[in-house]
Amino acid sequence: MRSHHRASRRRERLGPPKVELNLTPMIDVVFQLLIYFLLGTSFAVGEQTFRMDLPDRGGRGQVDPFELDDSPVVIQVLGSGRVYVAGPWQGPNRTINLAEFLEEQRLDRGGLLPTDTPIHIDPNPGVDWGEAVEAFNAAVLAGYHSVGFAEGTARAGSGR
Amino acid sequence: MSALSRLDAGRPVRTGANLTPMIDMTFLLVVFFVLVSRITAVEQVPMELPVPTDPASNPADETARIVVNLAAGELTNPRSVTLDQTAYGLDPDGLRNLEIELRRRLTNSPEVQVNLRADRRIDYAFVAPVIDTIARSGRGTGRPDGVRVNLVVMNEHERGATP
Repeated sequence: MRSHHRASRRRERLGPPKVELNLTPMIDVVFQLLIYFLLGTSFAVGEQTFRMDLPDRGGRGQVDPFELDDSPVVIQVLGSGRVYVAGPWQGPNRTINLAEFLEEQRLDRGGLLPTDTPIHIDPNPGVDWGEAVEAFNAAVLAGYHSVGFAEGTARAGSGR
Repeated sequence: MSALSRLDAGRPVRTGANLTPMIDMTFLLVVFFVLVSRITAVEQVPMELPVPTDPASNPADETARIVVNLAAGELTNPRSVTLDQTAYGLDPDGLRNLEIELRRRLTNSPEVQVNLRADRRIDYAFVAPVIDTIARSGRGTGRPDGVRVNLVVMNEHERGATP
């Protein structure tokens, strides 16, 4: 009887029993997940883009009868860093000299080509995509706004 | 030495850090990384992108995009092109299916652009039909200037500058 009385007095002093969740394992697991996703996620660091508008290939678009048809400058990519600029040009043989040559041909630099002249990159069979993009980059670097890939008329496009 | 409660004399004060905000933040971070890792897994197929020597490319903008991946196969040249983890063959049937899917998405989202990620080692002859397919897919989607395509490249300078 006395012990029962003592126990109830202690319970009164301590108040109602507190029930608490042990959060430690959950926090451990959540931190493990966080570290996993931190290490496992790869962002597109360093990825950039060349903008290229491709015309609708429907062939039913309206044609402006007063619009002059600009004849494109076709740059053949021959492979192994070599290029050939088709037409009456004393063009460069190497891709690394292409940007400088195209810049010299700009109308505002004393040349004959307005910057909206279509430049068509025409890679030869067997040329890899990296080399084709290198020539594309040279034309954009030279300041032309209408650069695309070409194979005859099938792959004409314009880009910025 | 333990502090004593002023309200309840003789009873020790329960001291403890409030973990709730930390748990909230941690859960938010976990949710963020789960979502981001899912998106990057879908869009970023591992490949060697072209690396122009003096790049005139621009940082990718935040416009909605469809990412078409053309990764190198076992013998360098690819067998398929992927769009959101769905592979389409490079044969006429596969490219026709890709065109249908692209057209459906371009019709649903008028502002959407197409990003073309292709491995730099691939023969251009494999990339050209994919460019043609993307161009054809704009037919009938109300784009008088055609589909806006972005060629994705790697800018090594930007990559080095980013911590």
